[in-house]
Amino acid sequence: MEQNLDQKLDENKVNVIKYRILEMETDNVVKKESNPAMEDKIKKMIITEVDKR
Amino acid sequence: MILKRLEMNNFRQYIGDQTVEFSTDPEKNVTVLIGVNTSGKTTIVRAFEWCLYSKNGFEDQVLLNSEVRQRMNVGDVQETYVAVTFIHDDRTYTIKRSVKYVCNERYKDGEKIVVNLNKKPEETVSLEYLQADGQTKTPIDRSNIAESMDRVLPKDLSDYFFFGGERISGIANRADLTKAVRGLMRLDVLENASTHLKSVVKVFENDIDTTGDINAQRAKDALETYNIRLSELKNELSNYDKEMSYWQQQEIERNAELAKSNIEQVKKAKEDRDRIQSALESEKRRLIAKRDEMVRAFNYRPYAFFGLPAIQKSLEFLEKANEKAGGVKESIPAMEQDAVDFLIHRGFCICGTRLDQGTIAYQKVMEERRVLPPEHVGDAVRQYKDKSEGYLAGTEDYAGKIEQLFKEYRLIKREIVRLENEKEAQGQLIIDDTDAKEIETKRRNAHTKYLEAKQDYDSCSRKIGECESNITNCEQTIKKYAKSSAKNERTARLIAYSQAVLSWLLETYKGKEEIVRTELEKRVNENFSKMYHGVRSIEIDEKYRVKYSDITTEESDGLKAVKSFAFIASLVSMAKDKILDDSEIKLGQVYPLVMDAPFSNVDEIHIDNICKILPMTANQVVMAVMQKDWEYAAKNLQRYVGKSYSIEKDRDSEGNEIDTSTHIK
Repeated sequence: MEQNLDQKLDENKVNVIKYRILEMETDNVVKKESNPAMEDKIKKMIITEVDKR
Repeated sequence: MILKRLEMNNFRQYIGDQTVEFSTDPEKNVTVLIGVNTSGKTTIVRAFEWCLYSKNGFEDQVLLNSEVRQRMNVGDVQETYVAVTFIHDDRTYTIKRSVKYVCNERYKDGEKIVVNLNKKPEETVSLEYLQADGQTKTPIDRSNIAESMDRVLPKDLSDYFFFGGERISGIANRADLTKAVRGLMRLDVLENASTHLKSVVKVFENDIDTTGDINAQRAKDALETYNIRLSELKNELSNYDKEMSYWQQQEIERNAELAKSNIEQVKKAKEDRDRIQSALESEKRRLIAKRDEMVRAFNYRPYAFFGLPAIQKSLEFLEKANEKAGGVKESIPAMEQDAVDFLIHRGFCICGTRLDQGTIAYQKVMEERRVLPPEHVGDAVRQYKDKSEGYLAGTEDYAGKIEQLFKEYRLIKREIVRLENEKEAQGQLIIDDTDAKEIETKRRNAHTKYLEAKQDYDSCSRKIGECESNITNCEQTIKKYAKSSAKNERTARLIAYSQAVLSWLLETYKGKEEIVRTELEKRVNENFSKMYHGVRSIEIDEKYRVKYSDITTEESDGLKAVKSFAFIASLVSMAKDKILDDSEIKLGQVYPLVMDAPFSNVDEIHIDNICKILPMTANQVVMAVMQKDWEYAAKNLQRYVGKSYSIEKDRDSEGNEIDTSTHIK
C-alpha cells in the first residue's frame, strides 16, 4: 500500500475508511445522491476517521 | 433483484385490477404463464418495461384498456397503472407508474363509438422501499428514480432480462455493454467509490496552503488548468469512441449485405476478405504484444546499460590510480578508525595482546588504522567497484535483445501491410460486380471514416496521457511542499489516508474486472456448447460483445438466439455465484429472467437444452409461453415451477373470445 508523505498509516483506520466507503456507495446504488453530496459525505467521514484518537 | 408481484390496472387488454405473484422459492424458481397466441403474453413483458423504464413498446401508444376507454365521456379521467414489487439488497421496493387519460371527444361514426383522448397524458412514477420495521415506506426522490432503476437493473441490459422470442435474435450484436455489465456485476460500486474519492483527494489537495512557496503555488495553479483540460479531453475521447463504434457498425452491416449477394464471385471474395480480416486482426494483436514486450525489455535495468560507458571509464580510472599508488592495501571490511582508537584507549587488542606505544603490536594496529575510513577512502572505493561490477553483469545482451524484438516487430508490421494489400485486392473483385459496387463503396467509406475516428481517438488518448503525467508532476510538487510544511500537517495526513484507500480501490477494481471478463468468456463458451449442437468458439471483446473467434459470416436468427441465451445465462449465473465476493467485498447480486415466447425461434433440441440450463443459472425465471412450446419445455422445467398461471381471454354470452378483456388465472 502506498505510504504517502513518509507517514506511517494506521492499517485499522485505512480498513475502516475502505469499508465505510463501500457501505456508503452500496447504499447509494438505489438512493442515488448527487456526486457533490456523496463527495461531501465521504470527505466528512474520512476527516472523522483520521482525526479519531 | 427478485420479482415479487406485478399489478396491472386497466393496462391494455388486462381489464380491471390484476395481480401476478411470482415464485420466490429458490428451489422452485420458475413462474410460468401459459397462453395461446394474442392472449397477452407480450403485454406482460412490456408492462415490466414500461413500469421500470418508461419504455412504451406498443404500436398504439395508448395504454388504457379499450373497453374502459369506450365507456368514457367528454371530461372523464381514467387512470391505468402498473406496479412492480421487487426485493433488492434485502429491501422490498415498489415502483408504480401510472398515466392519466382525459376524454376530449366522443362521437358516433355509424355504429362505432369514437373516443378521443388527450394527446399528452400525464405520467407519474413513484419508487419507495419498506423500512426494516416492514411498515414505514420511504420514497426515493423522483428525479433519481430513473437512475436508481438503472442501477438495480441496467436499462441497457433490460432487453436481456425482459425479452421476447422475436426480439432476442436482434440483441445478439449490441454496440457497447461495458457500462451495463459493470453495473450488473456491481463493479460500479467500486467505480463510483473511486470517482468520488478522487474528487475528495482533489479537495484536500486544494486545502494545502501554498502561500510562501512560489513553486508550490505555480503547481497549484497549473493543476487546476490541467484538470479542466483533462475533463475536456475525456469528453472528446468519448465522442471519438462513439464515432468509431458507429462506423464499425456501418461496416459490419455493409459486409452483411455483401454476404447476401447472389453473385458467386462477390460471395467468394467477401469470404476471402473476411478470412484475411481475421488474420489481420490476429497480426495486429501480435504487434501490440510484441511492442509491449519490447517496452518491457527496454525498461529492464536501462540505467545499467546507459551508465555502462561511464562506469567502465571510472573503473579504468580507479585501476590506473591504484597502480600509480603502488597498490592500495585492502582494509578490513565494515571497520572504521573509531574501532582501533577504542582498542588503543583500552590498552589491549581483541586477542588480548597489550597495545603499549612503541610495541610492534601497537605499530601493526596503527598501520591498519591508516587504511580505514573515514580518513581513508579505500573501503568506499572497494564498495563502489563491487557495486559497479554487479551493475554491469547482465547488461551484455540488453541491446541485442531489444534489437531482436524490434526485428520481430518489423516482420509483423510487414505481414500486416501484405494482408492489407491482399484485402484490398479482394475488395477489387467485389467492385467488379455492379450490384455489389455501391455497397462496397459504402463499406469502404465506413472503413475510412472508422480509421479517421480511430486516429483521432489515439491522438486524444496520447494527449490524455500527457495531461495526466503533468497532473501527477504538479501533485508531487504540492505534496512535497505539504510534507515539509508544519501548517499543512493535518491536510497531508488526510491526503495520505485518502490515497491509500484510493490505490486499493483502483487495484481491486482492475483485478475484479479482469475476473469478470475471463469468467464470462469461459461460461459463455460452456453454456453455448451445452445449448448448441455444433462447435463454435466465442470471444468477449473489450466492450463485452460476444463474437465468434472462428467465423465472421452471417448467422441464423436461431443461432443468434442461442448465443444471446448463452450470454445472459452466463452473466446471470456469475452474479448468482457471487464470483467477485471475497472476505473484504460483497458485490454479488441476484437477477430475474422474464421471457415472452422464448422458444419461438429455436428448434425442439435447443428448447430441451435451454430448459436444462435456465433454472440452474438464473435466480428466478418468469416465462410467458405458448401452450405448444410448453409441452416440450415442461419435460425439463416442470419440477422447477413454483407458480403457474394461465392467460385467458374473457368470452361473451355467445362464448366468443373478447380481445379487449383478458384475465390471468
